[in-house]
Amino acid sequence: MRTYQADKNKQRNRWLTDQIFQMMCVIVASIVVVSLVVLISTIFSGAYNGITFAKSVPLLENDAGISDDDSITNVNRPLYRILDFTGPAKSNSAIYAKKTSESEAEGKQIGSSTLNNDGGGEVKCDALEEGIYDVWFVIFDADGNELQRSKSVQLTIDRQSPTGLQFDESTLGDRELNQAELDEFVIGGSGIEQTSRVELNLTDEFGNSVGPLAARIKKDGKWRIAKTSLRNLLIENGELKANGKIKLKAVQTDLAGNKQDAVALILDVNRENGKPADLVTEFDDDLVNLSVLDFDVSPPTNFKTFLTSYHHDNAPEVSGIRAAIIGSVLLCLVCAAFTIPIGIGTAIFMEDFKPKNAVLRFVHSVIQLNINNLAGVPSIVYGILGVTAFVYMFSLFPPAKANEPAKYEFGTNYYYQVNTLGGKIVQIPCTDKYQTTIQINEPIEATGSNGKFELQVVQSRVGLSDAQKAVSVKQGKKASIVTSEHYWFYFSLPFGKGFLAAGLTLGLVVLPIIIISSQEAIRAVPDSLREASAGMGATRWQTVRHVVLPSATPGIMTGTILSLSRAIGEAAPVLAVMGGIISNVGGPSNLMDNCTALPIVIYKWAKDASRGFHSLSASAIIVLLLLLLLMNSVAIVIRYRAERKNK
Amino acid sequence: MSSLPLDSDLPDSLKNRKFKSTQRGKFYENLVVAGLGFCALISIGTTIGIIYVLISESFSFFFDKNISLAEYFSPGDWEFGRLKLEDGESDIQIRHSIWPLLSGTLRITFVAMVIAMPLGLISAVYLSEYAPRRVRAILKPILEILAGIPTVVLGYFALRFISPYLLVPLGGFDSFNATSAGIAVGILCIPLISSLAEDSLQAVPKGLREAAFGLGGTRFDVTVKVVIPAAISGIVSAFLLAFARAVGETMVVALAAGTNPVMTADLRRPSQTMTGYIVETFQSEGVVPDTLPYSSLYAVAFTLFLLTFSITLFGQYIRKRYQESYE
Amino acid sequence: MSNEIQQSSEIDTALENLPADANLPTTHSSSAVPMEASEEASSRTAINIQNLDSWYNNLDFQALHDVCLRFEKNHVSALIGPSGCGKSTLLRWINRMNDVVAGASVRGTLQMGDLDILAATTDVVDLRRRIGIVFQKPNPFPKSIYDNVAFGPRLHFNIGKEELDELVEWSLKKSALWGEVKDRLKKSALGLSGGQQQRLCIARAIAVGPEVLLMDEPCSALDPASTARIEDLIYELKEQYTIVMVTHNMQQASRCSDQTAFFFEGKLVEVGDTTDVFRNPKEQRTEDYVTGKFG
Repeated sequence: MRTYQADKNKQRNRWLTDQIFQMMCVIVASIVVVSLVVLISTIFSGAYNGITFAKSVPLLENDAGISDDDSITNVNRPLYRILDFTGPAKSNSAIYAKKTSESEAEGKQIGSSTLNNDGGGEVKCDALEEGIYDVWFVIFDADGNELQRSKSVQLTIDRQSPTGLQFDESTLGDRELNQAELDEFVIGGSGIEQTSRVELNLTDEFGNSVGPLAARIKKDGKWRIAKTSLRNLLIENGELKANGKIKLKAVQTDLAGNKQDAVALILDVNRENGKPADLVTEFDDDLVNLSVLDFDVSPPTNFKTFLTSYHHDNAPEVSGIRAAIIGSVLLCLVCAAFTIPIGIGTAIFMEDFKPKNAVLRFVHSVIQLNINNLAGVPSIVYGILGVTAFVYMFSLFPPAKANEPAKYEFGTNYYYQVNTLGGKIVQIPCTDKYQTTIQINEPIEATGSNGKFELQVVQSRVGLSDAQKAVSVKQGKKASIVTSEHYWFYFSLPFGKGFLAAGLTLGLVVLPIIIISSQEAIRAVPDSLREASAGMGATRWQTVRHVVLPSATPGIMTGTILSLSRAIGEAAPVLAVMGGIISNVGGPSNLMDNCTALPIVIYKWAKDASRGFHSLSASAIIVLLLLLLLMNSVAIVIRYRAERKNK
Repeated sequence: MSSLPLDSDLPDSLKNRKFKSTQRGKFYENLVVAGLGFCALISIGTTIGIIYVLISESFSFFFDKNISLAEYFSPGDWEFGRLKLEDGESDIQIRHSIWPLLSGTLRITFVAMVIAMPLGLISAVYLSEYAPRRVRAILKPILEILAGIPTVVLGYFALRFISPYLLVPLGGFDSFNATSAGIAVGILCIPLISSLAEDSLQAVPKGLREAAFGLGGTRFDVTVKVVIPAAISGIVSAFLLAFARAVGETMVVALAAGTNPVMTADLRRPSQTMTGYIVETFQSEGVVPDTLPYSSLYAVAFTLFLLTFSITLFGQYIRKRYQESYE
Repeated sequence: MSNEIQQSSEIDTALENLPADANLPTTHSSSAVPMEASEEASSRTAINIQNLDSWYNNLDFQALHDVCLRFEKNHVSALIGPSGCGKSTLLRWINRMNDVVAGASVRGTLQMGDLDILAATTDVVDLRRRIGIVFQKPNPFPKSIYDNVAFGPRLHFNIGKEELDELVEWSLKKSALWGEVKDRLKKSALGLSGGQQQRLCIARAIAVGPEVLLMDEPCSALDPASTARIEDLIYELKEQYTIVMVTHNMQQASRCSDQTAFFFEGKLVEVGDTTDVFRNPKEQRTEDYVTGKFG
């Protein structure tokens, strides 16, 4: 008999594999959990930037103008500039500084600016002595109420002695430039004191002077003239304005106001061959203006504004999700009203009315297969179906066009409107809405501000009293059609791009889900109950109604609520049917009116270029998630109570 | 007819039974059955509607004189923007190869599957075979929460977090790229694969596992060599269903994948997908019925529908055909 | 609503092609009750079964072969026999419960008084008002006790609230359950014990005022104490109703029933007064069964 030696190595390997695999499983599970956590925290942090529950301090952001440790040397007169401000019109900003060492002191205002939508202009602040300062800004509205205060940035004022200002002569000189060289031509220099300003003055031979031009300053003391400003000053119609020898003089002014001259440079421009001398210099993109504090501000809104206001373009701080919430609720109602009866009815039919005939049983299985497959169809395809079936209704009915009312409609009035001779506007009832104007040749019944009266027709206004003028029009006067407001129950065929069509489309999306979950709930009712009921002489429908449905109701309700929560989060079909219009949309005014919905605003705001709207998008996501949480909790409570009752 | 028992202690209601009419009941019953049958027909009507709408409008697209089927199916560009009419001549530049959009879809689906398949399957295995009860009680709800998150939220996540903070710093990535959208779609599909695969794994009877353990297998042996092969049909069908879901995903790609149909294998470039194109076209102005861009919408949707429908059908077929039945 | 007898066309033709007694095993039992034409006998008969054949699975399996049997009014008739012998099938055909079983078919005569139960035109709803049924495992509806009993009357009668209260009380008293539940009529029926639930099912069945009560192994899921109570109940109920009881338990049959029919493999082997069948069975197989040699 052979005995097999247990291979200890192999055993250990297998044990190791097991352990490794288990660890891998744990890692994977952790990744899943972590990704959810990261997702949620991203949303919350995105929202935090936009929404505050109380007035709190936004982040103060500086651009690359500030060196790494957020302090600036050699500044004793800081410039500051607010970029990308979006807020109430006529706001002002003021900048304050206080010495860091004096923690108790109030800040001293060192500068202020008015703000418009692109930010504020550059503002030169008051001079500061050497030292280390905390600098912050405050934003006021037009009435002087403080809207927002930023965190403070530390600023170091440290004057250095100036080095010499020089032109860089290697690029200049007494020479003729061809076009290519002109494009590369640079007027620049070095030796600039940090955070000073350099200005260039040009005078030509004849004493005409142009300038001063400001130079941009690079980090290591180099400076350059901006290409376009030089060109604009010197060149007109492709030709130099000046001629001959041009004197360029650079002056450095530091922020304390001290000036320093540079050596003047003569530029000889030779125009003999008709070639223009294009004195352009490069504008070096990584030139950075160290003297500027750039603040990027999107003032936050607060929660109340967010919930109660409509969307405003370009103004995230006054935009809100009110229209979206109204729209989502309405869509959900329409969807539920359509889907729930049909879905539950189908489920009952498929479960409790199974045919025995072989042919019908085949049909039954086809229907079941169909339902299962519909659950996997992408929602955008449902959107397309909805557009064709509900919005345009397979082009069976002519739709409403710009000057043509829809053919089949109900719930709106048309009338013709005309000005009487007395200047009053009166309305004449309309019998044929396709006739857009009528001519008044005879007295006709009209309605004015005082009620109904008969509109008179006269040949001329001469000799009429005011009262008569108020109720007359000239012979042949034309009145054009006006439509009254649509009542809330306005209804037209085809449905057009409105929330009725969108709700029905959403209903189609969730219909397979409701059917499947209701089927499972109905299947869960034990057959013994059905038998008992049948034994008592109940028909199939009576059994369903009195026995099966009451038992299956908790399961059906749970499935329904979960399906509706899916419908609320669907954006694609709604986008397809109603388009993604989120501005100028309040709640819908009638059944056929457009509306917006939560997922749509989330989508549009997330795509928006401005960062303020990104935060709003994240906040809207939070609202949506809370709504879903609420619905799921209701479903869980229902399931729990039903299970308890059955125990 | 019937002879009632003569017992005198019968209550009055049984002595004179006032029966409800069965004729009326019959009529009412038939009415109800007809109504319920009508409800069932609506689901059929939906499928018929989808097929009819897609086919009829695609016909008008494909039969337009500017469109050739050959170009649609061969590699090329996808461009509809340049319908110029100058002096009565039309300078139409339409490139209508489906390949760029298709490649966008496939790129994103590829990334999504790379993420979702391993993570989903291993989560399912972990939940079914390894996880202690407490971990299960946490992990399952988390998966259900992930499943319930609306897709726009994941689109936001991809556009405003994955792309700028995770991918762009790596260098070489455009701000709209296929990878960020793919990752988000993958996260979407993880719960789907996980729950379907877990159901299949649970359906494998305990007896098989016990037999394998009894032969001295480690849990890894049992799982990988016995349970997974037994449940393989369900697992493969889960993968296919997730694939179909990823192909049909709309909002994530609309937000994160850009609006540029490009035919390339580079995952760092924008990649408009079929679904993204449909959404974008619906939102652009001037797209009304009977224009060519409008019909192109339907052609793309039809292709999309064929793709997902056939994958879904195939997945169900695989599951039924290869399913081991344990009594 | 009338349920058609579900027969596919192949069964139709198959049945038509079968001559009345060709190749079908007939019952050998000489103790089968012969057909009596006398008026007196037929007025005592609640249910009359003649030449009943029944199939499952579209004629694949024949469950009953040429059964001839009578159930007398106000008597308890027990159907006994080993598993699968067809006794439950017979019971379920009496109130046409087998209609919903796909592939089940039947041929023969099954009458209750003048009513031909198996006819396609018979109103099954009305039939089930006249015949009540109690199942093996108690299956009260997950409703209140009151609603369980009131289910049938609400379904079939135009009845007012006070009359309904009275009816419910009467049914529960008749089922010997009233004393135990009269304070909690509105509570869920699922809170009752097994025996109480079965009595509730009996109350539910008699609330409609049937003539016949069918019981399919009513006590097999219950403990002995509840079984005893229900057997007592059956004894009382027979004064008012005709009871047909399927049972696995021979002692129960011998205790409760007046008439016993022994089935084996779909055929009626022996039928007669209970005391006779148990003490002096005429057939060998009957004796083997009742003495426990097989079962």
